[in-house]
Amino acid sequence: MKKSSKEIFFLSFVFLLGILLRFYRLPSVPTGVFRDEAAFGYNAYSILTTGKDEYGKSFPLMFRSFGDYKMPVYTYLTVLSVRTWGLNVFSTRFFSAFFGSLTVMVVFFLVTAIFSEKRFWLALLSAFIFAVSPWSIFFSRAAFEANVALFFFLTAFLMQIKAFEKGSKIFLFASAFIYSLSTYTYIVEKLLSPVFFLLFSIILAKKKSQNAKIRPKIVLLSFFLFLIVSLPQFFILRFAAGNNRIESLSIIKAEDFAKVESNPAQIFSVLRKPLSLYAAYFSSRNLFFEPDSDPQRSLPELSVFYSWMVIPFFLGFYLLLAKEGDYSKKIILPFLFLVPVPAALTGDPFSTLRALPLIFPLVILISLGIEKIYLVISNKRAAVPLISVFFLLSIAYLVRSIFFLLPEERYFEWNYGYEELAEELKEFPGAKVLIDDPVGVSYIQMLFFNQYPPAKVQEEFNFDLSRYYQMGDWKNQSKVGDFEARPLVWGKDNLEKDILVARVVGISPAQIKIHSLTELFAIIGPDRKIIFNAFITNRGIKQLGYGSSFETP
Amino acid sequence: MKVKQFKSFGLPLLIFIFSLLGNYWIWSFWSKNKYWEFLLMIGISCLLVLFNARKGPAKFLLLFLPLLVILLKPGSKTIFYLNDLDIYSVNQRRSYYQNPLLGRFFENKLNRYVFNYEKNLFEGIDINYYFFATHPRERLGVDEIKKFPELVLPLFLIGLYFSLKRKQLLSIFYFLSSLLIAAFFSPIDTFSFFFFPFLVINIYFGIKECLIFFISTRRKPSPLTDELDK
Repeated sequence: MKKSSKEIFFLSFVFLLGILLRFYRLPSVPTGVFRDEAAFGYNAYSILTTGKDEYGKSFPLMFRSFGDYKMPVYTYLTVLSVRTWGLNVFSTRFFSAFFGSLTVMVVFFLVTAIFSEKRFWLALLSAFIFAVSPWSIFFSRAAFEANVALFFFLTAFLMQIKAFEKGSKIFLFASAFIYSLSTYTYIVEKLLSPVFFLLFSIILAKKKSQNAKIRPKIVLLSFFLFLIVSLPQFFILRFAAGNNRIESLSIIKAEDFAKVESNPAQIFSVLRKPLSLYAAYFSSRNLFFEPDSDPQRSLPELSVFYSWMVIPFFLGFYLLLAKEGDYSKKIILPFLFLVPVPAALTGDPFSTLRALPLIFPLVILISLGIEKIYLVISNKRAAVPLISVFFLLSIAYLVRSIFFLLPEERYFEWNYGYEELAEELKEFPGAKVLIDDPVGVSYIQMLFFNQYPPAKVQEEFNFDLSRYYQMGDWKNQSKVGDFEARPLVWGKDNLEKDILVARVVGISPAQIKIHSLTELFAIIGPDRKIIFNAFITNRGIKQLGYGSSFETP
Repeated sequence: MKVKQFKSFGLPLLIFIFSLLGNYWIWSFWSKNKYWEFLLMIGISCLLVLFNARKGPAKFLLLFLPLLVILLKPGSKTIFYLNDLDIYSVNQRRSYYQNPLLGRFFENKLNRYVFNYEKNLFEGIDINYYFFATHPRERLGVDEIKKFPELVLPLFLIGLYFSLKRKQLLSIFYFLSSLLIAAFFSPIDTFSFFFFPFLVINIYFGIKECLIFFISTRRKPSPLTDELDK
């Protein structure tokens, strides 16, 4: 259906607004680079320069990283941006923001595909809500593989609907291929994609039965394609790389099955926790008021949608339920109730990251509600400004949360300070540095900010590549070049290292006195609080050629 | 005749009594010696059921009952109470803005009041608050109690859906009016007992609808379904 210039103008405006909210000050907000982001960036840099990851594995199917085995797509995509802009924060976050912006358009086309081409304004409203939703914006502004996976997942879903609408085999094959691509991007899509492909093929085939050109044989062939592309993942399923994450996150354990087997009545007590977690994904408190309890995965004082949207949400939900035998209802309701299932099976109370695909049906419900409110208000001249005021206030509070509160209040969670630390330590070449780190992962930040040559890292790690996919354990320590990241050991490190770096509470004034440490420098946060203290040891003073009268700057 | 009376009056009454007393919440009032709350909740629940299907504006007087009770119970902490940490947070946050006017626009006492009000409001409409003792997001310093068994959650949702569909909106208006008033008081638990009748009524409707569905699929037409439907 051809669009008028007015429609094209509004659509372009929404798309550009989506880009602006995702790319504006991308490298500096969130302040700092989280360790997973640094791992994506550095491994992409390593692949680009050597064709191997930090451990020396050639083009791995999953990246071992900190033993958590990251899905590969984000890292391989980042190779392109690192090649273009070099290894920096922008290139690491680029693809998340890029696909987050593109998803705005996918949402628009999906809504027109589900409802009708004639529902332009509903689709535009949905795209607009998606473009300004804190949920999408937040995950687009940092290197989150789940955000890229959402783009693939929704695009595959769009292709699937179009395939049945047009009776196009090519679209169905493309859908199967993109679904399988999403399984390489994020763990949740790994579980959802096969279910969605089969379930929605059945639902869509029923709807379009009058001109069904897609025969069941074609659906099965496409599913076969999906399996073939996804197959390499199954080979590593028996190793730590394939199951570590699922086993560590799942709240239903093998002993639960044994419990139910011995006493079937126990099923209620076993299911109570996942049920409460599942219900939490539909709780208006979580969706419209309280942010994710993980401060690294949420914006201060903003939940995933704006609080006033609770009214259109309930209204939209009711309107959808009340539609008898409606096609859109048959698509949206299974989508809505299926997507939180994988997230509910993990222990987190309300994981906005794992439930990210839930944003799509919720955006539709809210749009339906707002559309209804607009239709109910008899004075149309008053309706538009009224609704616009709500949106403008929402965007104002979004700006407050992202650009004012987030940098000041969440920099610690976003690992701010390593760039400054790396810069300061450049003043002490050859010094043996220990970073007091309880989990031993901060080495990746030093590699990232120093652009340490990957070939040297691979050589120093000297990793047993024959067991690459089986090494899911993490020893909380890592050493690269002169840097070491692990918990500090008194009596050893103060004698063997030149510089000790610790958080404020890491080294007490008494320990400074007992071990004769001299303060070297401090890294200060945006709120003027100290993040890191660096001390030079007696050995450091001698080794680095400083006299006993050494004084800190 | 007696069978018909049972079907038209006795069975719905039994279902209602089951909905009213078959939960942990009502007995928590009793066990904590909150007898007047216990009686008030039973009273309002009965009134809501009686007036629900009736026409006329008189039934809307029920909506003012929570307001009356709350006004008679002084001394509760309201959303307008800000502790030292809240005040410190407002001042601290103002320093984040280079433009002081912007800082005052976003960070002020009014903003905190709205935040407190929204907090209470959303806690009051949280499904997990009623059916899972606020699990998985238990609140700090609040003794979370289990109010209804998880198994009745589907019944509540079914009842709510049919209340909306049949435009029997009294219980919903009652809930909204009591919520909007109770949200002025922190924590929401102070007056959340006012929401009890809303849940009970919808659970009652839910059970009724399920019974009608099961009976009508087995044997139709049935006098029992006809009576229940009334």
